[in-house]
Amino acid sequence: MQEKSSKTRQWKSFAELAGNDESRRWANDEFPYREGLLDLDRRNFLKLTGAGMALAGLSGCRILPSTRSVPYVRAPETLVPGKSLYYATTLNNRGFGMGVLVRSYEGRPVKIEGNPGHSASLGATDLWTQAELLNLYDPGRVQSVIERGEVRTWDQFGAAVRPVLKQEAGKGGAGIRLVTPTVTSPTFAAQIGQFLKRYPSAKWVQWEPLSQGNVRKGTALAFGKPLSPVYHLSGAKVILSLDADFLLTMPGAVRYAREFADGRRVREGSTTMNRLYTVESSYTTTGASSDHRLALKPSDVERFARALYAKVSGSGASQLPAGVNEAFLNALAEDLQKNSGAAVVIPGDEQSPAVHALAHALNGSVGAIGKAVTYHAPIEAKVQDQAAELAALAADIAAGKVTLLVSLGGNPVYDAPSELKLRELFLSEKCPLRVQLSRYEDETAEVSHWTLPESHELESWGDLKSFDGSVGLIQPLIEPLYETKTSSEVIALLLDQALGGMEILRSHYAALTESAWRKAVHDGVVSGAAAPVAVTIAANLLGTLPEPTGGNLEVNFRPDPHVWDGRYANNAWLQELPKPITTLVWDNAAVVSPKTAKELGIIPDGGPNDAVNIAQYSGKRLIEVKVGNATAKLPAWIQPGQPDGTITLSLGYGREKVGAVGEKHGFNVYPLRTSVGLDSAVATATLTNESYELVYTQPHHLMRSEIDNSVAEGLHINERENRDIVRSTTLTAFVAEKGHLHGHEPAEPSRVGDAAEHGEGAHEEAFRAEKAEEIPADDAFGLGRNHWKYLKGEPSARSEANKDGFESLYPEFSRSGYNAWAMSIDLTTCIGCNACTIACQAENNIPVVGKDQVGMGREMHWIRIDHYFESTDWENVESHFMPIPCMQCEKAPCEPVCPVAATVHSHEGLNQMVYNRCVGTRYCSNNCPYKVRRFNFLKWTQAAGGPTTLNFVEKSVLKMLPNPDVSVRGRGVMEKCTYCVQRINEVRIEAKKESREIQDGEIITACQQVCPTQAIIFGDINDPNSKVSKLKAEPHDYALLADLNTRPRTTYLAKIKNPNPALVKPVAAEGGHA
Amino acid sequence: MIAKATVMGLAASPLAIMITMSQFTRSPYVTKVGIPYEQPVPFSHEHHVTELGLDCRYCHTSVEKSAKAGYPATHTCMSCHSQVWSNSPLLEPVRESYEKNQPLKWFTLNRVPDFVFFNHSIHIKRGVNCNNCHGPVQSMQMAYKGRPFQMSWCLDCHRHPEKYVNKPEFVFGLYEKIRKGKTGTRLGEGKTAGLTEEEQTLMMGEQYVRKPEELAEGEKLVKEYHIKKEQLSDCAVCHH
Repeated sequence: MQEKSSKTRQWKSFAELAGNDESRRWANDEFPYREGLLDLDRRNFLKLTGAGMALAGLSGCRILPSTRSVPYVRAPETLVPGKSLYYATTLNNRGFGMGVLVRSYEGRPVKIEGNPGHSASLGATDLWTQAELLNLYDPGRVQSVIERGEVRTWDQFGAAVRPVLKQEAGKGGAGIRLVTPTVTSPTFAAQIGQFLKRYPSAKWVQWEPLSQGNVRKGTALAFGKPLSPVYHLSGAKVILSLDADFLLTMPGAVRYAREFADGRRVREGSTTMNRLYTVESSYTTTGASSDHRLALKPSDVERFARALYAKVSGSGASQLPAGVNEAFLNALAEDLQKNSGAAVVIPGDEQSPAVHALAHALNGSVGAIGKAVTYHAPIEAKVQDQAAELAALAADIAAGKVTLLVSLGGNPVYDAPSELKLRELFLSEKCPLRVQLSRYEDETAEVSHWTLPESHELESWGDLKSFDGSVGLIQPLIEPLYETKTSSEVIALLLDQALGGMEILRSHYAALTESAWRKAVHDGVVSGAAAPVAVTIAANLLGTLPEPTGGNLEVNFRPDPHVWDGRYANNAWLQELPKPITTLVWDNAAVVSPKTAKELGIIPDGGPNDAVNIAQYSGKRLIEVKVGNATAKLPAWIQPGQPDGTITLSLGYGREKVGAVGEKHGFNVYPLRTSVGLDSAVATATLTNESYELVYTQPHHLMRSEIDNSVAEGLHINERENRDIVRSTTLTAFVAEKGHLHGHEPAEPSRVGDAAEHGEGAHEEAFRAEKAEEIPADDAFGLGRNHWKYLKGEPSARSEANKDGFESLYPEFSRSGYNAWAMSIDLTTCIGCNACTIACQAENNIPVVGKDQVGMGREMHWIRIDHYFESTDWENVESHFMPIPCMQCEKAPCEPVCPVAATVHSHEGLNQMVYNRCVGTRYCSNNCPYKVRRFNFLKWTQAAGGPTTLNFVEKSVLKMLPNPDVSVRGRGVMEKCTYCVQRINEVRIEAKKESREIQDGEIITACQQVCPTQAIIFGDINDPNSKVSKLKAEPHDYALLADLNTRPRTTYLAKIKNPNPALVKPVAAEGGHA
Repeated sequence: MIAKATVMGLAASPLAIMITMSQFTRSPYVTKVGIPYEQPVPFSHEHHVTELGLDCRYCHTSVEKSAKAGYPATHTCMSCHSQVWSNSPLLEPVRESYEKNQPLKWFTLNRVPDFVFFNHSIHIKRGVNCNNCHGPVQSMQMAYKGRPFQMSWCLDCHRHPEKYVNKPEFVFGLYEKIRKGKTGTRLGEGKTAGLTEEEQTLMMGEQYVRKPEELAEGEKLVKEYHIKKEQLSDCAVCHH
């Protein structure tokens, strides 16, 4: 049996590996950098304490401020005051439709959930969709029509543009240019069609910095026509990603993640799961979730694809890129061929058309076409070579051919290829009338004559296609907050049509009967996925493709995993969300591998300990990256797992004009990006003397007990109990060990002296003899079984629990007579996408604190995604993601230390946090082994400095954002995950009103609801048939830090990987992490 | 002698201050109990409920369905007052609201702090009469706050629900009974025929102390309703 090396080690950051001052600071103190706060002598301390106590009494005398109650004049028919309504609509998810159900509370949208009836959502969403709520209420939005800094009206805009249009009408509109992002809305496309009919010589340019261009060109190479591939991963057994981040950033990722996870839910008795190989040029969540990961330079990914295609198709040989093991290629090829019909290759959007063509050809070779991948007509209204079209536009402006430039919704001045120099062209005044429709006063608006305010989708009518061609309807949840219009409405205005958004949409669907129309609005879906088209692969593909070109050092431009191409830059939720893998916040960086860092001189070569050097220099030194003649300076981030010779730069930062939140954060790398190198380019880099401070959360909230084995022995902690936080194994081991889970191995012997000490020896021995057959041997997951034994039995099973070292000084918690809420999190299917963190933030009114405060460990997220590297050395790393909400311990260590009983247990097993009692001692947080408690150091909801999301005082539109069912916390109050107790209460009350029990699955926590892979399951463990009970009965269920005897209600299913047996390395002789 | 008194006085002063403060926080000055507000329209609950016999739910439509009882939309007022008293100057704000589509703005009398989440519907379902929390609403000429809404008051019921739960029909049936049984011209005064002692006390807006046999009846209801008494005082039932 292939076992994983026991010498691997789990670690979070280089600081931890190096054991330097920084890591010690985080290990010793939950909130370091607060020495200044305690700079008090004894007398002053007592004075302040006395005064504080006296004044605290007075606060009880506060009179509630008088408020007004404002009922409707005519109440809407369906509205029940105090009850939420849900409406189906579609949101623009980076250009594609994402079906959602939006919760509307008394007329304001307060939460976005997935639409189970929409094919891109299946009931889940992603972090961008969650964050759209804050985008709607963003105080930084443009609120009126602006002409060169002066507030105007739409009528004035109409009056200004009409003479130009009239003049152009005579020339067929030869001087008119429309610039839009990629258009996937059928209605908007039809309107543009009308516009071009009226002005036949006008031109329409689509520009999207992160487009599907490579996908279309790749399919054109392979099949002779541009197509849109859709993957179906449900039945796939072997998946190869060629630089495709199909679990997070690709269109359709939410659906793909669900299908991928469905093939990986290993339960007792499972013998199969899918296997994911990733060959990628940066470290993505998809790579981190794969069973085999190969990091290669962008150009080498193409070389690898060629070699693989040559191998699989048997059409000649192709050279493997340097450093790639032939065995890997052979094993992969064999695995793909062996699983013909259930294998699929997915090329990444940022890979060259050649890689796409090869991937499609490979799909043909392994029988994937028509099964795991289908090809459809392109989603966008018009397939264009966007970079070429935009270059033609720039040339036309320079030649003075453009008299009216209307940019609808994009931001080309910021994100166009740098050699076009759009900003300079705009400023040269060769185009006399420039109009920008945008949600922000952005870089394009700055150099345009007119800035038009754009509506959010939650204020609009419209439609959008999703990744598979299905069409979703957009309906407004709220009247536009400001004087805004949609792109459709602006086109109608330019066409002199007096039509509102709904009339435009309805007339596009005029063929629908009234009832069909109403059903479409109700469901949020007009039509399902497009029908696939038949394809034939071009002959002699390998011969026709150009050889890949690359260099010693390449840069690849990637969407930022949170702010995307820059459009989400003003969203504080996304800015403060730790990025997957790096856990950076509020910034981007140049990501390099340790080896490349050495070559660039970022860390000294040689030296006794690289980890120490990396910890010291990563994220602190600026490098200058040069592509062609363009340069950009940005901090270097040293990332194990990053391919050597590759600098990954994420787009979307360094915004000059966007709003108070997004400006002046990070570094703009668009100047390095040209039409010929949109995805990757050969570059040089030099170290500068300048320094910078990146903030990342990886060292925060350390949980590991630093007990080494000799100490552990002295404390009677056996090696199993002092094991890794993320437990993982392989499928082979899981299947093999399952064999003796119910076998005849004797139970683990009790510790010497234990029984005698407790005076229960005789009883226990009898118990053991009787139950020996049923008590499973401690398996690979150690305490997991023991924990469940405890959980399953009522406290009468105490003696059994004791035997396994679970005796406690505290009384047992009784679960009888109540629902016992609990959660199970499957680490195998968690892909680290961060959606749960954002969903929790939206549901629970969690504030944002700003970069400096995060640097002090004060981020407020109630559920965090811990990321562990696991490796024998510090270069070839594996990743583990672990969502950490409150564990809701039955014996919660936070409770006994609270001097004011502000955190106490409920009968349903929730560890309740009572804000109105809390006096802010922070003892509870200090005593929490899982580090899940968050403290309001400042009044984040009022002007306290920093980009606070809930700053009601200065920005009153944000008063509409909070969830009305959750308290907004003030300064000096502790808070933490509540298992969404507001949702529990709502369902409990409804059930009680109907005199029935709460059904399993009726209560869904916010993190569970958003999770694309359904890794989080919540329910009642007193119900043996509930989903969560069944998951907790799994052999690989385990409790985090179970040896602390906290009896957490949140438990984990150990992570199971499915490496190819042919590729599992023999056990390393010696681990030796630096 | 004076010195002695001064010393004693000083010693007692913290206690005096504490007593004063604690009394102050319970006084109507802070709690606003029993103080009518001037509202945009001088609406009389007495007239509408007891004299005309309108059901509470005619205006407070969602009280059985939702956390909030709901205020009536102007449209609700106009459903009668477009016909009745349609020229009354007192109703001018209502007509104006309806014509101009501008909502009426009522002073909120009964309010819990932002960290308290109260649900009307479940209390109604458990037979807790409106007057238990809102005082003698059916006899208010101008509405005022009937109870101080302090936490110990909430907890009295949440710890001993048997003292207050009742049959669901008790909630809205009471006002019909009061209407039918009224004898004098002034309501809320004297005895009303056909009311039990509990109903009589509730009608007066006072707190009734149940007798042992009534408590036993209450206990029976608690069982029947599957009320888990201990759970009722879990913090997160009201605070989240």
